[in-house]
Order: sequence, then structure tokens, then C-alpha cells
Amino acid sequence: MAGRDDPVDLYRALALHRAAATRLKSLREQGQVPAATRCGLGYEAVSAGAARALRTADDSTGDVIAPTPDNPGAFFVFGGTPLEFFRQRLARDSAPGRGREPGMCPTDFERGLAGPAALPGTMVEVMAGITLAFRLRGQDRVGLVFSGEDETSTSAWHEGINFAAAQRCPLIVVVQAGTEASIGAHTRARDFGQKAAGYGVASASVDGGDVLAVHGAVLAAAERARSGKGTTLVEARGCPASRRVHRAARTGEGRHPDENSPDPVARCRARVVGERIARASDLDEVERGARSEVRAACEQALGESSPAEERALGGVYGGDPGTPPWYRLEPPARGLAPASTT
Amino acid sequence: MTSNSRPEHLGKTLRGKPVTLLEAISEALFEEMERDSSVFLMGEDIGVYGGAFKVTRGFLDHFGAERVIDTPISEAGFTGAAAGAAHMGLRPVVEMQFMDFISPAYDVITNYLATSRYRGSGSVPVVVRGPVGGGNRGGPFHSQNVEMAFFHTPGLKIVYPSTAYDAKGLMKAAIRDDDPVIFEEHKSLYRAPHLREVLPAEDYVVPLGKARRAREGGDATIVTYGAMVHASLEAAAVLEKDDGVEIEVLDLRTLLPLDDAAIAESVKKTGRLLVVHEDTRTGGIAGEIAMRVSEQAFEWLDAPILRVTAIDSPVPYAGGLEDYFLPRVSDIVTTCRYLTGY
Repeated sequence: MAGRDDPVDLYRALALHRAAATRLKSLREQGQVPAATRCGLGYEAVSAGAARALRTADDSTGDVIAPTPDNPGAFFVFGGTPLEFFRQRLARDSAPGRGREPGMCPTDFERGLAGPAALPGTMVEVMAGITLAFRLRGQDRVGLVFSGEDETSTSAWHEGINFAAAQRCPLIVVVQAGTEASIGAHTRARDFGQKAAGYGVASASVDGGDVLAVHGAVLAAAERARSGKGTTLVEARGCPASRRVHRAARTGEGRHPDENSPDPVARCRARVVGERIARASDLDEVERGARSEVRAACEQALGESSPAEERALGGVYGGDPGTPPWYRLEPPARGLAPASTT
Repeated sequence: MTSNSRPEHLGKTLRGKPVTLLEAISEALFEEMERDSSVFLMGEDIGVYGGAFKVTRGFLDHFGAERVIDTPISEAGFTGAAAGAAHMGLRPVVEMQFMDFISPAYDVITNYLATSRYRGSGSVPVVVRGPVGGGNRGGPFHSQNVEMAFFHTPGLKIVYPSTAYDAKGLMKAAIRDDDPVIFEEHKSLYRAPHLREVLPAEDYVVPLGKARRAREGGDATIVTYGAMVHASLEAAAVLEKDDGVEIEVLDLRTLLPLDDAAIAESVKKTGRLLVVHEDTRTGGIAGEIAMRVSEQAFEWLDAPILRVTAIDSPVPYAGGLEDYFLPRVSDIVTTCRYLTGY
């Protein structure tokens, strides 16, 4: 998708994100995934709206996105499936990451998916390099990296966007910002557009709960990037406040006390129905379909096995088959050096 | 604007002239860029200025600004960008102006590059190279050896040449390797006149992970690398002349992976082991080598394993202080005498 989008298709993407995030939250509450697992509730509009403004492909010719754990909707738009999502989160042997890392989005550059990094901001650096490669090769491709508002305080985020700006990389940095109050916890800048000006890159500020607004802003940024005009920062305001702010406010997961934006899925639904683009019953059907797909995927993943222990070995280097420690293989004979101690 | 002809100073080997270790590295970079259009360079002042030590002098004119990229001062940013470019099929070589400055990139190297393959995000063929080492009155911020900051990270390879021949062959091997490689270049060896040598005109690589026997002997083994290879050879010559003992000197060339087989073979022959490194003592590679030898060749040892290293302090600036800080030839001679007399 890379043009003005069909609102019903956008709604379908929102519904799938919502269904997966809701199911993941249940798994978290059941203790099936770690308590710190981020689910992405409240990020439906920014996730789906941004991703559907880009070009997807499955042969390494499309755009590339780097979602945060809050953006399952973007993962699905780029060809990720609910089954992969739950396998990954549940660390199944069948997961793309083979249980070796818990990131929501496994790396698959054929589909344009860039997996996670350890620390906030690092993926801005990595995506700067990915889009540098696009520019060096004269490719008509764009990269998009999602950031949390707290991420913008890191040196990695700064160095990444500054590098992208200096190298005119076709990169879109989406900052999922909260409200004035939550932004103020991270910066004295009034908004992230002020930061963009400091880097000399274009910026746009949109309502992050309005899927059409996000979609339009990212579409414009992508066109700009494809025409050689470099990096754009898109501020999506009204996203759930960062967890750091939540902790400060002791409100747990949910919205910051001063955040009263309506639910992004409900907003999209009201608009689609209100403008008579689709009937409420059609959207009900879309939601049922999404929930059904997610339920089936989750059940299948729950029924699959975890990786065998010894699969922790190997793959650290190219051609590395993995060698178990000698004391896991045979009891040592007294007085004899083991054949291998590595 | 690019030039088609090879810069005069990068053609010494083709003319049968001897080259320094620095020139050998320059030739390796140049020839790899000629051979493979996916190889490109990034770093601070490597283009117009030709690099702080002029390793890339003339490269900008020959290859152009898209393959010799002057970056903002942002070690984390451009190393992260290198990872992204590597994901897209390029083979970046990034220069740390001094390896002391690699510390801001520690996160992206250890958490991102080193883990990428294991996590299923694919290989990242990135070479991070730069000058290391003391003896140049550079003080605490321009003299460090950084190998042990990274040695503990599975997924990385670490190379540290001591001769021009090895530097060229190892650099080519590092660039062609699909795993991330940290390539340390000792400043004192860069232009050392006694290290000039005529290199083969034809293409060659020195395989990673293979040590070199720099001197044959049967009375004790010195395992070392980098500038300390030459100090050890000097000490071995003194010991042969004054004491009539024959010291074997093993030049590791690659620290990660370690050539366990070569170390064990030599120790089993001589029964005595001294590890010499310019890096500081505590947590230095001597500890790891001693442990491996203890596991693999304990029964062949006729004396305790010893080490000669820098003292445990930052690298001091004043000449006398730095001279005291660094390992000396006389330290190696003294220790070998103790070892062979044990």
C-alpha cells in the first residue's frame, strides 16, 4: 500500500492490532509471557496508519520498517502474521527468532522487517544505515523507525537522526508522543518539531490517535524521502504516555491521567460509520474476523513446543555448529585432560 | 569526481617496494574496495583529511564521497548505521579515529552487531578498525588497547596484527568475513622502519583464528600479539645470546577466536608458558589463556604460567610514567629466566 488508503482496510489493520494486543495482555496476566511485556494497546492508529503509507513487498524491494513492541499493527501490515507474533512472544521453537530473543518483530528483510535492538534509540542508528544503503544504491525505497518519546533522550537516537539528516537518508522517524505533560518529562522542547528543526529535517505533527492523519503525514514524508529530500520526523501526539511517566504517576498500564484522547479504534470506527463509508455491521464482522484469526494463532502457538535446551548452542558465528561443554558430554576420567574444554 | 588510477602511494607493492604496516592496511582497504563495490568506508575525517593517521589518504579522490563517507562525530551513530548498511548487503569498514573512542559504540557493537546472527537477524559483516596502543605519549585517552572490552562478547572477532604481511592479509580476511570484526592497529607499528617488507603482488588473505609461530624454540613459550611480538622477539634474542635458551614466540594474530590448538601444541612441546600483552593486567587475555592451558595441557606444564603486562592503571601521559606503565623487554627477559630456571 502506498497511496490514499481505503478506510475499511485501515480499520481492518487496527482491529488486528487491537485483537493481538488484547490477547497478549491476557497472556501477560496469566504469566505466559514476562510481566514486562509491552502489548501495544493504544498504538493502533500510529502503527497501522504509518505502515500502510509505505510500500510492502516480499522480495527485498519494498520499504523497511523497524517497529517497537508497541507496533504489532505495523508488523502485520508488512506481512507478519499473528502466528509468528505469538510464536515469537511465547518463545516457541517454531518462532522466527527460535526462542533466542523475545522481540515482537523478527528480522526479515525480504518483507522489510527490521528486528529489535537492546537499548532505545539504537534502531534509529541502524535504520539510518539501512536507508543510507538505499540512497547509495539509488533505490526508490524508504525506511521508517518507530520511537517512543522517552527514546528521544538517548544519545543513540540523537546520533542516528543526526547521521540520517547529514547523509540525506530516506528515513522517517515516527515519535510516538503523549501529551504536553508527558513530553515535558523528557524535554524542554515544546514539541518534537522543535527538535527536528535542530537537525535540519522536515517535521510534521499529527494526532497519533487519528489513523487517517498519521497515514497522510507518513505518506507525505515517504514521497519526500523518495524524491531525495531526506529525513522527516513525524510526531504522533496522543499516544499512551511512556512507561516511565506511567511509573511516575503510579497508574499502571493505560493512559496517563491527563490523557483523555478517545480510543483510536473507536475513533476510526465512528468516522467510517459516520461518513457512511461502511456499516457498523461490516466493521463488526471485521473485528470478529480479527479476533478469530488471533485466537486461532494464539492457540496454535500455545500448543507448540519450546526449543530443546541444546538449541542454545551454535549460530553465534557463521558456520558455528555449537559445541557443548565437555562435562555435558561425558564424565571426565580422573587424571586425563578432556579432549575439548571449549 | 573520482579518479580511475591507483594513487601512487598505494602502489608500492605492485612496484615491488617495501611497505609499512600502515601502508599494508591502506593497500588492503584499497584493493578490497576495488574488488568489491559493496565495500565502503565511514569515519571521522577519513575523506578530505585522509584519516588522523592518513590510512585513507587519496581514497576520497579515487572512490568518491559515496564510498568514503566523512561522518559527524558520532561513533555510536555511524557504527549503528554500518550495521544497517550491512543488513542491506554492503560491507562497511568504519574507522575509530583512536580506538579509545570506541566506547560510545559499545552498546551497538555488543548488543546489536554481536548478537544479530544468533538472534536470527542475519549476519552483519562490519569491520571496526582503528589505532590502539601506547608508547606515543598519547595519555589515557589516545593509547588504550580495547580488546578485552570486547573479548567477552560472543559473536565478535578480534584481530590484532604485528607485521605488514599479516596486517594486509588479515584486513582482507576481516572484510570478507560475514561476522563483525574489531581490527586493532598498533600506532607504534604503523610506520616502524624495521617492519617494512615487500609483500606479494598477488591477492592473499591470512585466515582469522590462526596463530603464527614467530620464533621456534624448545625451552619456553611466549604467547603474545601486536607490538609485544617484537618486544618478545627481542627478549628471546637476548636470552639465546646470554643464557643459551631457546624461546618459542607465538603471535596470536587473532584474539577471538583464539587458536587453542597452536597454544596447546607449543606448550606441550616446551612445558613452560609466559603470556605477554601490552593491555593492562587484571582481566587481560593472559588470564583466559592460562585457564585454557590449565584445562588442556596441565600435565605438560613444568612451571607456573606467568604473565608480563602493563600495570593496572590508566595510560599515563608523562614519558617516564608511560615507560614504567608499559611492559619492557627486560621484564620479559627476567620472567623467562625465572620460568626456565624453575
